Amino acid sequence: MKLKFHNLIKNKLRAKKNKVPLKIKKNQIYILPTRPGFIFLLVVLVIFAGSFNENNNMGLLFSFFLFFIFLFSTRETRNSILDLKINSIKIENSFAFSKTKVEFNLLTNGKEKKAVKINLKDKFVKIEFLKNNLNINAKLFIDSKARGIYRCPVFKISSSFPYGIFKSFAYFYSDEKQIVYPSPSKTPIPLTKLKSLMEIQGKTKDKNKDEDEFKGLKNYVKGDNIKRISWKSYSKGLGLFIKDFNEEKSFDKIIIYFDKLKIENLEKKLSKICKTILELEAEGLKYGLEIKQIKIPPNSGPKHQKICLELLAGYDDE
Amino acid sequence: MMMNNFKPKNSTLIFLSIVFSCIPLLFFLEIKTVIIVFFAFIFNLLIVLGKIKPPGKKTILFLTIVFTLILTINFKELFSRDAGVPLLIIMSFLKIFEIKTLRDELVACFLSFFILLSLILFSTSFFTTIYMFISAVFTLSVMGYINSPDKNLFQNIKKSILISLPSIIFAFVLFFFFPRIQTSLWGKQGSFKNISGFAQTISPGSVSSLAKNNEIAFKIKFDNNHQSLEKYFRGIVFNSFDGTSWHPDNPPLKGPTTFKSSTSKKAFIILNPTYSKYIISPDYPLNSPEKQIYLTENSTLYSIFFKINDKKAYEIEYTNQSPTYPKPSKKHLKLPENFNPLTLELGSQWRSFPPEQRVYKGIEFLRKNKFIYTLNPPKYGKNYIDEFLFDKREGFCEHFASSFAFLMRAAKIPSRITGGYLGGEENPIGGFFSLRQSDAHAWCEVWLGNKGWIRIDPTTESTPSRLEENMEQIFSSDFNSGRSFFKFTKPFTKLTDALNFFWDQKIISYNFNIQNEFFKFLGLKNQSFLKKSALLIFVCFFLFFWVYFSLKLKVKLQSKKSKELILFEKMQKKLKNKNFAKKPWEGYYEYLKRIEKSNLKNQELIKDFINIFVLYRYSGEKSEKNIVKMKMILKKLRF
Repeated sequence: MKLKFHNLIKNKLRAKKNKVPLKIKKNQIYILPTRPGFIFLLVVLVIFAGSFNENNNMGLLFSFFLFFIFLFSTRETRNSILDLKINSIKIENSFAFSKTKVEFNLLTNGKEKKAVKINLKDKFVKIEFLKNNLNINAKLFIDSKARGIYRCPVFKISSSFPYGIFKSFAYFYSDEKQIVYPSPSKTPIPLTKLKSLMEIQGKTKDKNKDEDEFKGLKNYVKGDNIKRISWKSYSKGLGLFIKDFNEEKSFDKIIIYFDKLKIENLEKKLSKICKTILELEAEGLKYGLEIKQIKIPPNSGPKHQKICLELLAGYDDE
Repeated sequence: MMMNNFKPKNSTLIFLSIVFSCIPLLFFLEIKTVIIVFFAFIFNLLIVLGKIKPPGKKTILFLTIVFTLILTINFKELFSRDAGVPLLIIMSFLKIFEIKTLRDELVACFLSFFILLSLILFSTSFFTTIYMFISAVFTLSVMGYINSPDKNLFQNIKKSILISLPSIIFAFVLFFFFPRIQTSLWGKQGSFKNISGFAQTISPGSVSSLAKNNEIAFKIKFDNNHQSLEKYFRGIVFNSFDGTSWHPDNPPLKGPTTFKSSTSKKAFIILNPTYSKYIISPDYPLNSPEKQIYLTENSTLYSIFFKINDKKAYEIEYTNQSPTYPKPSKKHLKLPENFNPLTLELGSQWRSFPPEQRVYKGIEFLRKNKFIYTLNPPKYGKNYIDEFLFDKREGFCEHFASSFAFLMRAAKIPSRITGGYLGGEENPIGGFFSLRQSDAHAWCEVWLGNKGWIRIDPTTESTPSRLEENMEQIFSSDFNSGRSFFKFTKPFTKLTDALNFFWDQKIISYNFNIQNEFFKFLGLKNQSFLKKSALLIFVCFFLFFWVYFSLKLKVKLQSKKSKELILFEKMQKKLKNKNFAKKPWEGYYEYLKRIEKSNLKNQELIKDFINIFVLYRYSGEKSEKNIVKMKMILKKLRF
């Protein structure tokens, strides 16, 4: 029931276009008493009921006073987020079931704001001060969901300043997508398996098979792969050398054929591929990815990795 | 998990706000209670200062039980005012150490509101109220402090004051318009100890025990503006005598609902709690001021259900004419057997005379024999009236009154004793009279045929000064000489008294009847509760929107007006009388030309001003220098 209601509000909000960049207006702010606020109201009620019954004018006056404090503080509470400008939301890509970093850029162009909180469910970030005309970046770490590409979640910005008896809040979101990669599995797909798959795919690519042999030792240059250091020669005291393989060159360009991999569970399969990509990137190898019609030519680097992982994140069976 | 989230600074402030709320209470609580509270306070102080570690959950529970037990043993009843309030204070102190979350902190603050509220059980004076509001604002500031990140108490106090001011105004509006009820919805609470008030019986020492009590018993304002001659205020009539003390009829018999009199006067009384059912009236009341009070056959007022445990305000119609009701009966002549044979003998000797002469004989007896009016009468035995009249001849008003009444009954004159107050100190600022407990007095009333019940005050017959002076003046040696030290504060106390009277009259005593009159004044007669509620809602909405929009518009207007325009308007204000102000339809240059042609005094200055103004406003180049120049010219401009 609560969830339904929540969704209803959310959808309404999307229609209302509380989209970033957003300057929070009066009609976008909701105000509700907090739990201490309800207790406060109860205190006022008890004082009122007692005084009314006893015809005690002082008690009545005092209860009225507290009641109006209660009412007037709503205005202050509303002002504590009114006219606040949310310039942008940046959502970092993340792996499934880990943390996603979200960065907000805020600006006040009214008065300075205090004790503002941005939250998504139970995760929140507190912004203690917002000086006038000063940009502030706030970071919030939210839980990543399962693999996929999501719409930007609706964030809540709130404040219960000054007395903590009322909470004013507004919702906002942006067009930014939340991309969640599959969570990497423990072990990658073995290279040999990938290689064999590549062979099946077409032998034309393996023309230089003859050259897959030990060519000799090369002087170590900073940046070379540590795994290829010839520890034998190092132990003999000859210095650092790198084993130079011809065959390695063919492995420099690995293409992962999604459809050829025989792993039944789709998510497990994606996880494996994800881990493989991470490993290949770490090894500094060039890799490509082919899913159905989409072909990403072999390359390396963080940008390339991102493209590949996003493809995995957005994979849909149909 | 979060452990004890004991934030020293927050807790210190919450502690302070609780202490602030209880300070005035300490003046009203009993000494032993104050000592208990003081212990709790010291304990708290040490913890807040960091000298002792904050107690754990078990210790708090233990302390709660201990304090509750101490108070229960002391007062026997825990839910009475005198035990409940200190318990509330101690619990609030202990609550500080239970604080784990923000909510706990706020709840501790709410407790301090409750403590503040309990103050009204003891005092509802004007200054108590002011203290209450100030203390409430402080507590609010502490709430703000807890919630705000910058931890600036001063700023929070400022903010709280800003929120409180309109709240106070609205509270007063709501106060006057909120529909009142005539009786309470459910039973009234509170069992109070009999602290002070008029004696319920008259016996040697019963009135003199009050003589040194300087507390105010009631305040009275007479309706007619000329100074009142009313000095006797009646409370209780004692009809039966058992040899040692005089007793009232319990409950006193009901009289007619109204007495008729050709001379009726009005007065407004604010009666401090008497903790009894008797209600004071000047001389002889003509009707009852409220439904729950009835007029007794003895021309006194009596509350049907409740004791007067709170301050009570009422308007009363009264007369100085002696009442001819009720006709005397057996009870007005009844005397106990085997008491005071000498007095009985003397009285019976006079029986042959006509009634008036018999009374006169009695007065004469008091005047001729030297009686001494004293606060410290000697000890009397069984036949104390005999001893007083024929032997020791020293006594307070109760000795005089009971002796005289006894003597009259012995002479077959129906008589009774009336207890009340005599005197009154005028407050010229407020135009009212205050009567203190020390003004308590007892006198006699005798039945003289057609004349009715005539007041005879045997005390003043023997000591006439009692009528003119108050207790303090008569017994100046008995009162502490230290009091004269405070004499210079008298004008100040008169003023505060007057303020308190006004406050009591207008606010504390505001009730169903006064509200009806208020509505009548507004042209709304005989409103039902529902209609009143509707009116209230209407008034509230109206006020709310009025304040809200006026505030908003003001802010908007101020922010829209630019600096140069404000300065220009200031310049115009200086000119206005000279008929040289800019007309709304005039352009600035036309205006400039008109100034040039005129023979105005500071022509050059004004011309400069307008030139700079136009340059600043329309050139797009907004340099602060020009503003400064305009300000300079404004200073120089004088007509």
